Amino acid sequence: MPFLHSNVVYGLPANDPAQVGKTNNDSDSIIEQAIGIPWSSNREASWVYFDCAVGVMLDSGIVVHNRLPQYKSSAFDTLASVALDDPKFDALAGPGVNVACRDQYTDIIQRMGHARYWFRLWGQALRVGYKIPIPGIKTIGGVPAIPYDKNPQWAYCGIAPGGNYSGVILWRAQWSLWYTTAVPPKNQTIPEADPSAHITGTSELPKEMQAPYSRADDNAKRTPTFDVPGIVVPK
Amino acid sequence: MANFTTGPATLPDVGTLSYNGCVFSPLFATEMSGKPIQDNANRTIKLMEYSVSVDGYVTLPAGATSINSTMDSLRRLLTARGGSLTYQGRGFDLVVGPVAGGLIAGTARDLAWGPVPELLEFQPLGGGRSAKVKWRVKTHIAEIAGGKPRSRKSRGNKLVPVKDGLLLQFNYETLVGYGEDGYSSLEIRGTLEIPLARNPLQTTRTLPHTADDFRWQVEDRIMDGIDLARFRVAKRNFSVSRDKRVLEWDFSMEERPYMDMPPECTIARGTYSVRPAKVGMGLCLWLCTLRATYTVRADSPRRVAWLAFLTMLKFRMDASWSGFIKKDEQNPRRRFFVRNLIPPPDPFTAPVTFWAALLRSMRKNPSTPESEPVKAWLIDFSFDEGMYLDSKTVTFSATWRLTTMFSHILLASGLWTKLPDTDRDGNNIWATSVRSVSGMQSWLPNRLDPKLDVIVDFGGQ
Repeated sequence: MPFLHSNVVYGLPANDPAQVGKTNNDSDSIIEQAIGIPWSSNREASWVYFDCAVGVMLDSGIVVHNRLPQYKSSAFDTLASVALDDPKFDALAGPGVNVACRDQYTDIIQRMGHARYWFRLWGQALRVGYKIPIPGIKTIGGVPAIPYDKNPQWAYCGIAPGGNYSGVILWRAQWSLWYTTAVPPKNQTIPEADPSAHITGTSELPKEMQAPYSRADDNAKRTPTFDVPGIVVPK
Repeated sequence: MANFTTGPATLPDVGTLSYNGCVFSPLFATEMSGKPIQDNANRTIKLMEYSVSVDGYVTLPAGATSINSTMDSLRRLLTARGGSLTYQGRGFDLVVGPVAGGLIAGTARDLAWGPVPELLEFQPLGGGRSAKVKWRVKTHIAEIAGGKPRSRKSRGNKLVPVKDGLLLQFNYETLVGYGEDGYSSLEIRGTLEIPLARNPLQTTRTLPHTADDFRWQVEDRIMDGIDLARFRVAKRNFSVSRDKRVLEWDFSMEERPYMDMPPECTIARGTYSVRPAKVGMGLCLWLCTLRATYTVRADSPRRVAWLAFLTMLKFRMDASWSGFIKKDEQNPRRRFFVRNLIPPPDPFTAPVTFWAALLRSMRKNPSTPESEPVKAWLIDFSFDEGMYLDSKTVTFSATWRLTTMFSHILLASGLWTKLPDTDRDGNNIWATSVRSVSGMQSWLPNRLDPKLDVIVDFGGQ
């Protein structure tokens, strides 16, 4: 090897424990002590997702009395429009679902009671750091919502599987709550909100979406006269 | 050998012609031819190449019956390289090489392992009792006095061998390139040549030094001028010729991009990716992924890579304070500027100390108002350690979830923000950290050892 040992170039013995080009200086101090990785200290920004919906079921109070068959035939009505093993199956262009009825009946419609409304609030959410409050409905359609317990209400809020962000809990919740009203709903208002999307159903739509703001890069020499009055500049 | 002659002659002796102990008789006519040799730049004469052509007769020594023994010695002496050449008394004195075991005043040293015998012709005469002989030798000398030797004792934290150096030539060519991206590239190729000869004797087979010992002159004369605040050295080659007299060198530099590399890292590459989170459609939930691969100086702590990544990770995540999620904050008059207010660090010293100080100064990002909470949290972290031959590199990757409206994503993601690249005194931090390994050597000097090189002759040492 025609090259000098690198230690020798620097006046060190070739077998010195400190090897030029390999050995480094590190005090082995704990540099990261008290250096934190930020997590969402903002509660409003802690939602991973919030998926909640209000479903409405209506009993209009109408009863339909069925007549006897009005058509004399052994044929029966079917939704099918072709036999499955029809050899020309792939050449047919049928009507799809066959809803044409062979009968000629006219049933009797009778109003037996007032319309009844049921509302089901169900959903799930995931949140980091903070427990998820189970949502409920106070009013709907402009009238008070009353729990409807013929369908059992259930909900839970627990730690999501593996939901440990280095000491920060990932909370998961699901719920299913039923409501009805004692008086007829008066309007079309159904509560809608998504805290993770930071928007509610009553939000006013913008004319257009605001384009993202940019900032001067870190090499830029800023021109103070370009500052917009009212801009908050952290000190 | 000094007593050996090409045979008796009755003609009067005029002047002296001898080579390597062989003294030519007056029966030899000579012709001197000199050729100026240009340097590689064709700007100057680096040396004169003299050819001495000798044409004459070898005669029968007294009492001998043949010139065999004379020719044996003549062949041995006149074909040896690096002997002393004396050409005097003819109006063009030329004395080259050590005489009587040493270089005496008034003599010149051949500059390129010469003198170099080039021709030996033999034409027998008189049935082997004499012969017509032609011989030619070439020598390289300087006709101008050398300048003052340039020496260098130490430089920065590097130990440089002291080696006075008279150079035969030092020149270079350059190439400036502009890529399609407009960024510059520089290339410099050059030649450094030194004189070398057998020293002190013709039989000396060892080298006092090599051209590699003068590598520092390349750094002094050329590489010191590279602005490492703007360029990074992408390639360095130092090629030493087989005769160890010529150092051909070439290196190239690339203009550095907007963002500096972290201190102590010779290469750092990465990406920062921001896109909407898949869960929860819309433009208010984002995923930010920072991924970077580091190559740290071999003589620096490995954890420099981690500290560089951690610092950038924290810095970019802290930028999320400027995100907004409340409607009333969307007022453009409340638009926040994320000014980079991390104070310039102290001048770069040791890498671990530097990173510790920088991280401490970031413990609370001074550009983050106390009242503005962070709107991000880490959801993924991974690293890839190169193993074995790939252990020069390590890659870190982290993904965090960021909550901000579309209008503030560029601000809250920390786009184009970077850590301070100059220290308190205005010096470029990265350049300071790699300057000692960006010149004539890296952390390994890889110097040629002259003692390990010998001239190998047939049957020689």
